[in-house]
Amino acid sequence: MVMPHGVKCSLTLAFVLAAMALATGPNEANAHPLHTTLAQLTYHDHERALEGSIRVFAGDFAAAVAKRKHFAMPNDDRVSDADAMAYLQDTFRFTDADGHAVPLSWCGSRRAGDVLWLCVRASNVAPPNALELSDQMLCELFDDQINIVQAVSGTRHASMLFTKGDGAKSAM
Amino acid sequence: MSELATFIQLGFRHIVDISAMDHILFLLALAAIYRFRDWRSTLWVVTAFTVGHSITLGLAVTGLLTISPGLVEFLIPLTIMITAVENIIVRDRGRTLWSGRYRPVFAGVFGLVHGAGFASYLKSLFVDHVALPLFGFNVGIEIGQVVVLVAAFSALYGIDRAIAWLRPPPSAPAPLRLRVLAVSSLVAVVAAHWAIERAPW
Repeated sequence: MVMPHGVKCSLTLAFVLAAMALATGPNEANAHPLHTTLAQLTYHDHERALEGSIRVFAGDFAAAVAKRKHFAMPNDDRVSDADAMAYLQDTFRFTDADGHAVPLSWCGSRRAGDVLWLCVRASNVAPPNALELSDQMLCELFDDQINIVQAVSGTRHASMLFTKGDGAKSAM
Repeated sequence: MSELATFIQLGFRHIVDISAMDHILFLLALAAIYRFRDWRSTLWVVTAFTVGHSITLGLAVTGLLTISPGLVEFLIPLTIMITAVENIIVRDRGRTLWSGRYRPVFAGVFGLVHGAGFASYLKSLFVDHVALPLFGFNVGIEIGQVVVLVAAFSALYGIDRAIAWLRPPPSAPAPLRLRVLAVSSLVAVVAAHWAIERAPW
């Protein structure tokens, strides 16, 4: 059977495009991962304290910390508290109205399945509406990283979304 | 920004990103047989797909349905491949079951599989309150799909122009059929490659 010229051209075009798509398409074991972290900030008015609970996929977090510290990725996704805190101080940063960095202290972590919950706290600090936040967690690993921050201060609620390269935004 | 707007953005960005190539190719395979004037049929098919993935996403995130992520990752390219192969095999839709109007049904069924793919991530992160994130994420995905479809129709128009420029001989199939063959062959080959790569055995 002689294949018509048009069909030949269509099929050739299709297979050239297929080869290009195969070369550039997703090759990870997990086809379409959601690269996201979720941070929940709560401001305690009477203590003038800000508490942050950050949920992150443990494997991604361990890979990001390992990359930053230039060491091999741990097999069990474990990250020491000191390394986790150092990473957060670089990538999850509050600044006050004068542009000074707000010091964060570590208040623990907890593993639940694939997810790691990280806790940080800032004491004697202004309410979130007087602070700016920059959240670039894991952005060095994934171009499609999206970090969500939800803030609560009294009756006020706000949500923010950070992507790679985003600058600081008002924390409320 | 409101919490709802945040999750709409999350869903939208998730579907229009290049790493969402599996969902983009599925939409391309669904759209490949239509002309722009068939936009109503396309919208029906895509809406059925959205309803399908919303159902499993909701069931899986709320814990009512548990599916192995490995199996889902394998089934997703399989649904894409079946859609593309169906495009190639069926020449005259007027002579098929329900005159070809079964496509929304199978888009809905395949949507069930794709929804399970989204679910594993959302379930892990949004364990405490899931209703609003889920709703916003779904709305964002729906908006993203419309954007992907507009881009897909633009690409299909470009392919139609390329076929016209090639001037196929009179003995060749109709230009629409050539376009369906080209696009569906591409999608089928890529999806088969992914299915083999992600086979759970």
